Amino acid sequence: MPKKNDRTKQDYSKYAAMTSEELARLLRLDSEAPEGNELDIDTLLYITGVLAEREKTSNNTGKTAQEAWMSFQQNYMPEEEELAVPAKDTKPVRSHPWVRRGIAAAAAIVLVVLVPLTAKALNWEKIWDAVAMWAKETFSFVWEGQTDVDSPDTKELRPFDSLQGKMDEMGDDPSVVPTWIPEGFVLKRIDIDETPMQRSYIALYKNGERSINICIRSFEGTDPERIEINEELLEIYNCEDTEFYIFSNNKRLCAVWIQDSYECYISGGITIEEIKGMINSIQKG
Amino acid sequence: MDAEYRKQIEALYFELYDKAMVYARSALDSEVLAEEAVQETFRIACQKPQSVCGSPNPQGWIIQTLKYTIRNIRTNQASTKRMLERYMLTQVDNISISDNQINISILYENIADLEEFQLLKEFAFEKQSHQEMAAKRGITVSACRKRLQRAKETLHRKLKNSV
Repeated sequence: MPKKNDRTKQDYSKYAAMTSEELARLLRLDSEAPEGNELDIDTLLYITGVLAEREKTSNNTGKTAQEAWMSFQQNYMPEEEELAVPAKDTKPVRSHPWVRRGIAAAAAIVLVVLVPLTAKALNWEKIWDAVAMWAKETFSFVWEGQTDVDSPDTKELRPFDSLQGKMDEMGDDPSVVPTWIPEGFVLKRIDIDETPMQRSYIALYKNGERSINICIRSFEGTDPERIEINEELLEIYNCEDTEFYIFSNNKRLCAVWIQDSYECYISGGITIEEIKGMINSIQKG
Repeated sequence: MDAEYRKQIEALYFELYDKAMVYARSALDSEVLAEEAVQETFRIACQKPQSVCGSPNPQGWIIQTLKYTIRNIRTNQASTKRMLERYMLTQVDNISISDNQINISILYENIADLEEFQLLKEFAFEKQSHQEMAAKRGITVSACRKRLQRAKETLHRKLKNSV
């Protein structure tokens, strides 16, 4: 399957020779493929064009474009007041710069360990460009009640608020979250980053100058990439049949793992015993 | 929306509708959901006209947004289904069995709740589109979307209270 950034001139004749069922299957696989492993847009447009033409020829079509456009205007065209606001219902709020840098750094780690097989059509600079763009363009839906964590009058979170509770509220599975946090750390904020592709939860815990980030990202409908080892890997810690990859990154320890349909990581200025303690608490629920 | 943007988006619509439907139909295996995905995609385009019309590849913008919309549909259906299943499991003790018929309505205290349950069931289990559900109820797609969101919030509260 030609990869996203394959710059060689495409030969589409092979697609024209395929049956409609084969082409439809290609499209379905493309819709389920992880980012970086999809067909390029030109190929998609070619294949869909071939199929659309065949459907017209066989009179096997639903609504015409004209009928659909009329339905669109009647049922889907945004009203004037909706056109004045961004597409998302929730007002996007920029997260704290510290968290944005944390997200970009964490995304870099996750991409380093999770993307490589899909990125072989990209050169290294483009991967980091993609990370930077992802971090910049991600809207952070700040959980209500949150205030700037560095301001002296930071509100304490309500006692029953937790990352598990927030995930549960949003319909995600909270059992992937550590239930033990090293002593002295307090949950300060939870950011929810949502794109049409996925939802990420980023929780920040603080203990004076020390901090821990926990990030949980859902990838419903796609398969995760396998984790690749690099020279910063300290240990692959196996806990109840799940492999946790523990890395060092700029004086912080990170643990990265995949559980069910979630990609997860912990990052903090903590000891390896503390990070393992958090990992051990996940399986116990 | 600026008239020029509207004209450009309309042109894109007619250029890409058939192709977008082919893609969505292959991905979602449902004519009604495919149409929903395509219509939602162009709804987003109308809300971001500068982005799509200013893109060096507007066709690519539409197709990429369509992909995101399809994934969103799948994610929302799956998560709503999970929530409903979890809630139904918590209500096992409350289900009465009379003449071998499980009285499912006992799960919900009043008609409003039952209507919300019906909406969630149609969305998550029967995989109906917003347009289908709206037409059945004689309401707009936008109103249906809002009712579904409220139903999800109600379900979440019920789940929380049942723990």
